[in-house]
Amino acid sequence: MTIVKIEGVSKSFGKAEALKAVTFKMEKGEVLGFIGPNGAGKSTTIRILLGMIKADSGSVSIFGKDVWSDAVEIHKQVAYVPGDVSLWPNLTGGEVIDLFLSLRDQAVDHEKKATLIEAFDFDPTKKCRSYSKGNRQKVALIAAFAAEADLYIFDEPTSGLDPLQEKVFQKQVERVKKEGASVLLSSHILSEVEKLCDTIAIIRNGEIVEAGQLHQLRYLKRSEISIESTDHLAFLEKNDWIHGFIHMSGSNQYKFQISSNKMTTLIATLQGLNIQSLDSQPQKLEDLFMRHYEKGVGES
Amino acid sequence: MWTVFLMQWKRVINKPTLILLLLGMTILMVNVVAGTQGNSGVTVNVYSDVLNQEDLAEKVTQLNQNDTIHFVAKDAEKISDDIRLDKYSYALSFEEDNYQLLVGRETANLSLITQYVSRFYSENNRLNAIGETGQAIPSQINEPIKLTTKSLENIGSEIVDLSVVLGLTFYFTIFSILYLMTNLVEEKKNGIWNRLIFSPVSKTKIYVGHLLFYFSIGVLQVLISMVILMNMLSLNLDINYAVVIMIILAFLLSIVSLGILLTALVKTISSLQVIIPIVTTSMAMLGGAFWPLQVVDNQFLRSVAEFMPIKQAIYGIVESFIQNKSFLDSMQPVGILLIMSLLFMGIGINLMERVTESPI
Repeated sequence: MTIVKIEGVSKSFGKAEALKAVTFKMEKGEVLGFIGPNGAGKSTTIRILLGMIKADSGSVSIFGKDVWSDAVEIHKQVAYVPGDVSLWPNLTGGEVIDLFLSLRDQAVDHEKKATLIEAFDFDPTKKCRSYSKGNRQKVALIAAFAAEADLYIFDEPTSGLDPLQEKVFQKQVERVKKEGASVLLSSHILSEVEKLCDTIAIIRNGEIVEAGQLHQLRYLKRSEISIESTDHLAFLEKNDWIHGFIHMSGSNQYKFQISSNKMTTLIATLQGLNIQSLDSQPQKLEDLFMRHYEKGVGES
Repeated sequence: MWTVFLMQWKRVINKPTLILLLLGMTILMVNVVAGTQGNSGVTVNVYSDVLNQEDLAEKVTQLNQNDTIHFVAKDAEKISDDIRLDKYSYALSFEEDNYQLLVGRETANLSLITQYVSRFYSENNRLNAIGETGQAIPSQINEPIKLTTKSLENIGSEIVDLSVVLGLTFYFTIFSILYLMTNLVEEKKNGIWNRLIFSPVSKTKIYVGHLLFYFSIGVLQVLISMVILMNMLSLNLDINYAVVIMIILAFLLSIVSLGILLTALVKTISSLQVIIPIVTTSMAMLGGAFWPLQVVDNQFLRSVAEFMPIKQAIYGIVESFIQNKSFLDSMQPVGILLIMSLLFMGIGINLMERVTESPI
């Protein structure tokens, strides 16, 4: 069942084109990592998803409903946590959590709320004006996780949290995923995205440049190979299953990538050669992101 | 909607300083202004070339039964000197069955005083005439037609007190409502407003929740101020309270709407904080909250006053009381205030929603 469907969405602010035919979708129970450099269009996409702004063209739906015309209905099943949480300065954290929950028109699960407050090590009795960025984020996270939502949208949710609280957040995401909810996670912490997400969508300059299930992404199925050999290995470059071949100048070091299923072929090819060391590392999301990011920087 | 409404109230309860301060200011200012305008009364100096000291004193005692006008007997020569030096502008010379005016300068009070003294002499003369016929002198004269004259030009302390109470109460209520609305601008600027928009509550309900809160703050402040001040100034007026309530509610709605328009027009909280006292005070001055509009001769300013919600509210209530208007006749200012509300609110919300859609 498709929970979020974005098709050919474009949005301009004056002459600045923020989104260009953005297309991706999310299935039920899926955790989608939405990543991209600053100003790529992540927040604009999220604002369109939340019905805050209207897309110039294309269609956006959540639970099969139009995000603009059915915003209120959709929000009943959506929990959102922004990157920079602003709260009413003269209300306490506990009052704000209660307020967020009561706005949802649902019965407040006090036990769940108390468990989350304890898990996030949060003091709900202080006035919001005295909270640090991390504590303000905790208010929004507790309110979001205490709600019975079918879709959670997180925009840089852990940017102010310490590593311990990040783990609490990850556990909560895993919990809601188990319960069948979908999660859209926009984050710069790629290790977190890699750990939590089933699918990713990378946005750059308002365009989706890579999208799909993490384990199926062509680039992530490669391994980074590093070989040290006294023999000359330049002949390897001619093989079509070897990518990005580099001979480090002034050394016996060679670096390249191969598809993970070509490891046997590589070992067979290297037989009889004087190999001093061979190191194989799986490609990380960070490499993929950096590849797109550097491309973007180079282009601009 | 009610969650938004109650949340705003919770914020005020957590930080009630502004409301309490403005309420205190209303009570203080009304007492100061009403004390100097309404209860001062009029002192009239009197002398007599004909009556002896005892007869003059008796007449003064009889005349002083009125609370507003206070008669003081003085030496004829001294009064003549004082008028020449313009220490006061007029005096009365009493005779047995007549009186004369000694006027140095015309004043607005003169007609009221002559009216009062003429009536006193006319009653006394009629009673004396009855006495001369040998009949028993009645304790008071029953007039076939009793004519009571009330107008804004006359200095009736109750009317002045009422208009001062209304003017200053409305003035400080505008301050409270508009200053609380700076929170709305703050919420919009720092993203708190968006937190509400993300919630499963429609924009209409969020707006209504906020507006209802500002409206209720206004109602509460007007109610508390009026009750306290009417009691403090011992104002016990025969007013049609349904008319008063209708006009006050329409006035508060127009002020909340004006607030929405102002918050939509300004870009920052600091500029709103500058605009609020300028708009409020100039509106109160033009609308006759500090002094009666009858003292304003300039036709242009009088026309501008018609567009001030505070003028419609104060004079709607005062004229309804003085002219004893029917409920329907008194609804004219309510209609004008509702049209103003519609206009301010329509433009304000339209502008507010336009600026919401901007890039991050």
